[in-house]
Amino acid sequence: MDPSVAPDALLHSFITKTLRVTTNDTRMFVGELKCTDRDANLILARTHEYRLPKFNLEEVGRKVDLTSRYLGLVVVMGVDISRIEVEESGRGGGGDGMEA
Amino acid sequence: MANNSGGFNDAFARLHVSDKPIEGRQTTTTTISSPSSASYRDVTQLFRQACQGLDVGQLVKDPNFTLFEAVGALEIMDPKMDSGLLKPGEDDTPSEIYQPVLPEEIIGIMDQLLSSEMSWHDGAALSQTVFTCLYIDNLLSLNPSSLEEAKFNLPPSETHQPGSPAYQLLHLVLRAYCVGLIKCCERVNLQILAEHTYEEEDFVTQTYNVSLLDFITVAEINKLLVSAIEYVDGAAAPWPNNIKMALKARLAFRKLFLTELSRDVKEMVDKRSNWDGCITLLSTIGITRNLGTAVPSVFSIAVQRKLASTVPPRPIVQIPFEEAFTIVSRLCKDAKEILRVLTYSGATNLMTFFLRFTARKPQPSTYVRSLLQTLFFSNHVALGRMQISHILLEDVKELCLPADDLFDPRNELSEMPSDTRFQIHQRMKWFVERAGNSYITLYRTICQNRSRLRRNLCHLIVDWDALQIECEEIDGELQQLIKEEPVLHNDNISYAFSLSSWVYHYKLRQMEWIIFLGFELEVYLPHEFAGMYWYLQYFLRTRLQHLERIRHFVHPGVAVDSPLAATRSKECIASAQDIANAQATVNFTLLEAAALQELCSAMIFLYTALARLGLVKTPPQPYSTDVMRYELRMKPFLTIGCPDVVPFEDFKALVDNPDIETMEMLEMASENTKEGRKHFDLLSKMSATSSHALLCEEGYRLNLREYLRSCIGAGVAIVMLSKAIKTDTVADVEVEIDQRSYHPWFPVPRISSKRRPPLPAVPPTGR
Repeated sequence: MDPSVAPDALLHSFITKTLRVTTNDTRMFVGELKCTDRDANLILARTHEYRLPKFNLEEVGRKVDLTSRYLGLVVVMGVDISRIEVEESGRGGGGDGMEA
Repeated sequence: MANNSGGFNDAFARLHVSDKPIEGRQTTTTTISSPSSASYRDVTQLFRQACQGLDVGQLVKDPNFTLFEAVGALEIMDPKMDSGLLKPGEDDTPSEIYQPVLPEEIIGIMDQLLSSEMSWHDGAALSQTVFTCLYIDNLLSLNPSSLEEAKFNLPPSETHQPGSPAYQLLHLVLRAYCVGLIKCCERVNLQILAEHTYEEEDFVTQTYNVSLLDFITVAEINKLLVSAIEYVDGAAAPWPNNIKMALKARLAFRKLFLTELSRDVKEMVDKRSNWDGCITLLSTIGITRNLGTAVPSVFSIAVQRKLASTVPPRPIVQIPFEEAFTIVSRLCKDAKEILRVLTYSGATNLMTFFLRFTARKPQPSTYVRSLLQTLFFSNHVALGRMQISHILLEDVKELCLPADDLFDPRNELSEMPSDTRFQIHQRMKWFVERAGNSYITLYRTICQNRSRLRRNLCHLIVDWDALQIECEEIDGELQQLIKEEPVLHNDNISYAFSLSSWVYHYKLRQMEWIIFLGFELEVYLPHEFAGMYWYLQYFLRTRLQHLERIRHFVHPGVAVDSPLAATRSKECIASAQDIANAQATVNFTLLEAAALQELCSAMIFLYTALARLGLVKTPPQPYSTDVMRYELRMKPFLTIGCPDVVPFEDFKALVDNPDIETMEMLEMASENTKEGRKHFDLLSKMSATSSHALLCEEGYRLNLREYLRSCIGAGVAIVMLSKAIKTDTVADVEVEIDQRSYHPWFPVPRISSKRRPPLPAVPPTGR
């Protein structure tokens, strides 16, 4: 996506997409973007919460149990967000910078 | 980018996350780096920059999404809304569960669990009660699908070597108790979901997608409980006898309670219930209560973080043990008592039982009220073995005794549409179906909580009003078919109109209940009391006239000259006993209505007098008027054909009675209380059979005593008031309306002098 497009057009392209939002307390919320504003406050529908396991990932190898639960419609304030990611369907394993 | 916060984000980036709603247990297992996984692209910078380009207040949103919906959203990171939020310094999951060593601690945990369970029965959510126990959470967190899997997953501990008493205590005794308790919750939830109750209002059935051991049978769990009891009983358990007794009673109660909660209607009909056993075991639990040591650390609100919940976090609710003990004891007693309906002894008796049982204070629990609905009618069977049409027609016969020909079984055999019998049968079939539905709904409605009962009655009377009109038409057709002979009644030639008479009587009763419940639920303000009692008195008087009419038509020899007389089957002919019964029912109902009417009349005069003397004041009504309030109160009755709602002006004149002197009014009120008392005395002398109170004699008599108390209380108030007027000391009089110590339908003003200490109330009857 070209950053030079009008801001609302760019944001509109995210609407109804599945976002993965990480909050400052390291939880993640995966849900469908319904609404956003100037402060990057997000309203996500059909949201699941994911919580980090307590143990160290390196020690247990590549299999991890991640506790998740369904929350439904949530509001996440922009100030609480540390990271926003968008799901890309159809491009197997393709996120740039993710494999680093 | 990936190394900005250690390994977390890296790991997360490769997680496969599913967007499907979770089924089964609240945790799902997610595997890293599944090849088919969706990938995520970090757009944090891009997104934030784009947002900053928006104007203040500008929203970018899905056109199908309204902000109204957003009102229901949970706000993440808000401590009041976000059950997953960790307080600063708080650990993610509760630290290791404390593993008790002493049997006293196990007893304590069992009793705490009972408190949690009963808090749930009392209306709190599972997430606030049973699920907050870390042992329950531990047991359910692996979503066990078999009994073997339903066990605690605890780290090894030195004090709990396998086979040691401490180990057995935890992994056999407490485990068996927890498994039994979870299954009890499952049975209760199933029962409540099967019938009509109000979610969140009466009970919370939400399980947050946690399966309550659905796949494990009651028999298996009972076996586990038995092996736990055997262990406690055996020589390997090195505890004193009183400890053993306490543990055994708790395990045995759990087993029996689970068995009772799992019974189907057929077993109950076969008299296999054993609630008495539960009550006996409960008394042992009560006696050994002090042996337990509470272990508060095994309950934690943190469990809510894991539950799939679209509602904000709620605090833990754990009522004190004594209260929980009262609730569970009452539940067992009530569950036993409702089995009485299975010994059917006539429709009127059944109705009396429903009315008296559900009017109890405090009201029977949601579980029991739900079970009562199931007992009454489930799988198209009433009371476990009868047809609803049988009960319905008996109800009609007990009051109105319609012509014999309507009930002739030969009617059903006729297949010729021109045949009179065929035509009668068609109409009776219609009645059974149409009225049967309304009749079942009425019973079910009576099982609802009191506020809902009142509200739902307002809808029901509209249905019964329509039913009455439809039945009048059918009655008209039937009277021609059987060539009913008219009877002279009140100088008019008239017909019985049995079916619609019966419907009208029930409709009037329901209209009375709506207003009576208004008093019970404290809907009315004191200055409205006189007016509302006037309406009651008006409905009751209408019902009395109607009953007189019914009585006139319940007599031997109806339809002797019917064209069907020759071919009538013997079994349908009303016996002398049937006729006597119907007459007795009408007479009893007349007496009861007359008693209530006298008491209502006394209340009208008494409260009107109080208003005149300025002792009951109309509060300021800045946004309302008397007319508006009257319209509001009459709203349920406006669409009812008969009796009519009285225009406000007439109503006001009738209630205020400006032509009658206050003293005279009090004298009339005093007469009414005396008459009412006489009637209630007569009623109390009648046997349970003639009062149709065979199934609930105790509750029925208690209710009568409360009416009598209100009667006496009103009498005292009248005397006090008259004395104050005569001695010209009205200015010194204080009035307090007592809703508690009298019949809930007849609150009584307590009148005292400001100068003297108030008179004590009549001692309570222990309701």
